[in-house]
Amino acid sequence: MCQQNKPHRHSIFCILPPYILRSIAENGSKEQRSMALHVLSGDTTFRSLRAVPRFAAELIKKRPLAFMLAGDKQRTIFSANNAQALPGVIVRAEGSPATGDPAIDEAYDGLGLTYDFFWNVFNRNSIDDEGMPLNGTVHFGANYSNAFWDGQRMVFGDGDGELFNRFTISLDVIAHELAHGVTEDETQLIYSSQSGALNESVSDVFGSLVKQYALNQTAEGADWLIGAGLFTDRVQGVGGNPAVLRSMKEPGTGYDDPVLGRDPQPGHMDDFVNTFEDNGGVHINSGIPNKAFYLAATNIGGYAWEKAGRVWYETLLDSRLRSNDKFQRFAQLTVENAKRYKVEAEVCDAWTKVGISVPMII
Amino acid sequence: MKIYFKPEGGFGFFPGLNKALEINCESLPADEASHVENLVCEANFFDLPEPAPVPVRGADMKEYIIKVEDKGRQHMVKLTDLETNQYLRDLLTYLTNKQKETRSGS
Repeated sequence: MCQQNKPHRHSIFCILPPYILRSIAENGSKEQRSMALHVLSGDTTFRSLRAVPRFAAELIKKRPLAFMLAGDKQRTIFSANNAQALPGVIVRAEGSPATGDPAIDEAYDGLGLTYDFFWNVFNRNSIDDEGMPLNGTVHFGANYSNAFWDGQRMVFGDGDGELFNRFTISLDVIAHELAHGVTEDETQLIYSSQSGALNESVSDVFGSLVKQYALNQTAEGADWLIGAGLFTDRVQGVGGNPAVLRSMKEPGTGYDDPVLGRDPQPGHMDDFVNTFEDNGGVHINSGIPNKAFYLAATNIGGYAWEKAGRVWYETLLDSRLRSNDKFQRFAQLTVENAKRYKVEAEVCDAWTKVGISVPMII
Repeated sequence: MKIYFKPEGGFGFFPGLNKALEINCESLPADEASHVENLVCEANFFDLPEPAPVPVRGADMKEYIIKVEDKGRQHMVKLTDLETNQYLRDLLTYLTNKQKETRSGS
């Protein structure tokens, strides 16, 4: 669509079909790219409008591909204004400046860093690998102490100020929630018992990796903590350390507090917790695969996302992984995928140390 | 009227925050007991649907089990933080605050 009030652009951009415009946007000079993207954005708006009656449901999930290039993110942060209704009102969109509200800006930046991690490290284009817009809602509920993935968006509470700070305070918490979307898109690991604990662990793994990537930390230099800063000073940690949600390095040492109780995570199959609570212990027994990942990453050494992270990611995408799989099956697949990077011995050793024996040759 | 309340789920499992709460209205002050009974009545609690299966999508969401016994009747529901029934949300807020009071007092 050519409009008189728009800045001048070469007329060729007005008649080219979108696939050619996309090619120019990807391969042209800086000026050509800019013009092509400009035209594509207007063109797509009208194409999208025509498509709405047929594809309305899909458009909610997928972004119009012609809008942007793979590797470009599309973040929208909403505020629930302390109500418990979603999505809330838009408070920051892609490219807009910081607002000064820490929850809004942390959610925006955290989703951006997580997107960049998945794109730069795994060449994954957002949650669904098809450029799904990243929507986050902050200020959910009054003194609400939780963060969750509802199947479409990441939702963050402000915390009660007594035990919990705002849930956007930890980058790994934001990345954890986005990673739930990735898992849901790839394998739908059932959110119960061992498959649920794997689902949780995968989110902790990528949550921690996003933080390590952002801080440029090696496996040896990382703290392997989930939710550092999330608790207020009133919550007691272990061994004089500040309280954290979970430790992948030493499961069960996140907190030991008169109100919260003691961190119940095991780090070995000998201590596996059989329970009906917590959807069959999804946040409890996730300590076992968490520790296995920590051990694998430190066995291998260097940046954890380069080999260990890639092995776990490829296992998540492995078509042999079923939605109800347990630790044993997941471990076997990680060892098999590790062969591609010649780190199967390191991965196998990690699982053995948490009580899961995996034959080296399957 | 007796009420059983159990929060579950969320970003982590905290043993101290997931303790069940049991309330016997006979042991509450009269005005508080009346308030609770009104909340249950206004929510049409005994006519609410049975707990739905675990949703396929989503993770880390909190769930709340509320079971009420009254005059020979017994009914249980499961809620999330996205509950839209305002009366039920009021009941959930009351029970959450009550559990917090109990926690503080322990």
